[in-house]
Amino acid sequence: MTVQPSVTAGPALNGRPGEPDPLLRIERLSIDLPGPGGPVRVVDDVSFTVAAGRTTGLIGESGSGKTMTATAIIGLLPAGAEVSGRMWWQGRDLVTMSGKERRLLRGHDIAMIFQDPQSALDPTQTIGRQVGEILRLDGMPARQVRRTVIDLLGRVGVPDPETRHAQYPHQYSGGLRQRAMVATALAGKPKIILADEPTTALDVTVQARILALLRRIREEEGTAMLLVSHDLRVMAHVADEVVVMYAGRLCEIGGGREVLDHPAHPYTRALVVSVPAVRSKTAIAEPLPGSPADPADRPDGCPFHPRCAKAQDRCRVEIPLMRPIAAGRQAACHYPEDL
Amino acid sequence: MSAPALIEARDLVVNFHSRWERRRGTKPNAVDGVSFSVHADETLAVVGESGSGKTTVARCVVGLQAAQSGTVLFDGAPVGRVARRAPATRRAIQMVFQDPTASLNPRMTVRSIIAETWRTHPSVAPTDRSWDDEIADLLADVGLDAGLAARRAPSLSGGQCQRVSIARALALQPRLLVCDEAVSALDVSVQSQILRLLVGLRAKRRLAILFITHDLGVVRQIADRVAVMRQGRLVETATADDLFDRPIDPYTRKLLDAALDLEGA
Repeated sequence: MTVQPSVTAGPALNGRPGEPDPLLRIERLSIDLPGPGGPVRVVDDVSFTVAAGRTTGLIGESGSGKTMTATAIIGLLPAGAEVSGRMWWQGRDLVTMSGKERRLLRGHDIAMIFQDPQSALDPTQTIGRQVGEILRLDGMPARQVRRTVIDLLGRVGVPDPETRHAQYPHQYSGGLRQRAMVATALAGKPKIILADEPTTALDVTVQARILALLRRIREEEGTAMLLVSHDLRVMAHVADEVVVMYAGRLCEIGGGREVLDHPAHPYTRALVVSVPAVRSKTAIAEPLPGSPADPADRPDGCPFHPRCAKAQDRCRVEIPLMRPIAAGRQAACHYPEDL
Repeated sequence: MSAPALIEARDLVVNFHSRWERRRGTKPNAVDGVSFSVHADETLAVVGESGSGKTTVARCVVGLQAAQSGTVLFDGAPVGRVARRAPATRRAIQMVFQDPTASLNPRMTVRSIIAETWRTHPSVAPTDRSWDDEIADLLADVGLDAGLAARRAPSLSGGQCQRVSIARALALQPRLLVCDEAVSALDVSVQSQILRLLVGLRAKRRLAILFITHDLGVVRQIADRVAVMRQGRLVETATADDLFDRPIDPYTRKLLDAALDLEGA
């Protein structure tokens, strides 16, 4: 691993004080993707942890690197991607692990739910066959697979699983398809589920039900979750801890409620005030100047400085590092909000 | 409101049935007896879940979709499909689509995308000044730099593309702007830019806006009146304040409760 001179070390992050070793510890993860003008650093020096049985939310807008981070954890990065840093999974480093070892983890210990259940499910196979795939691969006898699949579908709230497991994806509604995806993820008895925008494609009435399901699964099965989303309302609902990313770099880490109620980083703050409220009429938020930073053309210094009202000369040249700003809170900002 | 409506829909019915389905008559209509009106300088939001028929309604108004029955009246006169509309009517009703990158031709420059509208409708093409000056003004109206005129869509961000789509619509001096989920695909920080732009333009040009969306928070910010659709029918039409504070229909309440629940305490 070569450390670029512009990148300076961030402290290793240890969940909350007094916690046992976390399930997953991302340490200084960087990802380069091949681009037309040379490699593009889409994730830059990112560190965070996911504790067993807890939900960590990864917040960011398009181009923030949040989906790439999740994709790196499950090991499905596109060909040509260069990964550096460490991803400690229960004492083993996912970055240096062989392809075979990763395949054994994928679908078993580490499962993923994708944004669009429509395209994540195979239209030519029954739901039951897809939910039970990992069980069949593990050599479970067919009759037992069928029983387990029916039980799984029932647990995620698919009505009448006895008949519906034999149906095809087109016979399921959007919400039911996402439930089937959750069942597929649960089939391998995962320790962590990576959920990439699991409710974005769904109607608001269905969203609330899927989020309730994800919460219930965390409570009943003790599964940890890394929830990737741009939707702060979703985060406020389910995330114990949140990690905010901008242009491939970390902005802020802390408890979900604390960060969303009292953001320390100006970018988090801008995101929070941009969410239109339903409860009471709010004015349209003062828009951020400019456009989101392009990872291929990231500004010097703090990547957010061209859009930041508080930016000083220092922000234009010096990359802010993640540092503790309050109990359980860290931010990468030279001039964070007082908490 | 006593002034006559700019656009009015009366008893629109649309279905996509096959001949066999029509004969059996068991499949519901996509749009089933929908009536509403929008006045100048007013924003009507149409909300509903996927499959409720809100996009089909928008397409009927623009004339991209023929209705099986019912009429769309513009300035009091019935208008049909877009191909049968008088050029002046076609010009006066413009649409901004959901996916900003897919609604611009990737091979055309921003300048030619806007200039194309004037070649189609010479009546509103600038005559007393150069087209380039007018394009620069339009881009400034939507908050874009004049230098963007020489670029093509693939080199623009999503928010920039959406602003070009709005500039293209404005080039024809429309009186009604139909926005079908025009901000849904954008990041929240960009979304507020586009919303501010729409609200500012409505006041400046006395535009009527038909705003199709599923995002109730956005509706609360910009709509004067709201129409709620469910399974092809309008279940409730009310002013924005009434709808959010005193919803009448049980389905509207369910929709609001779900959104409030998501918003949390």
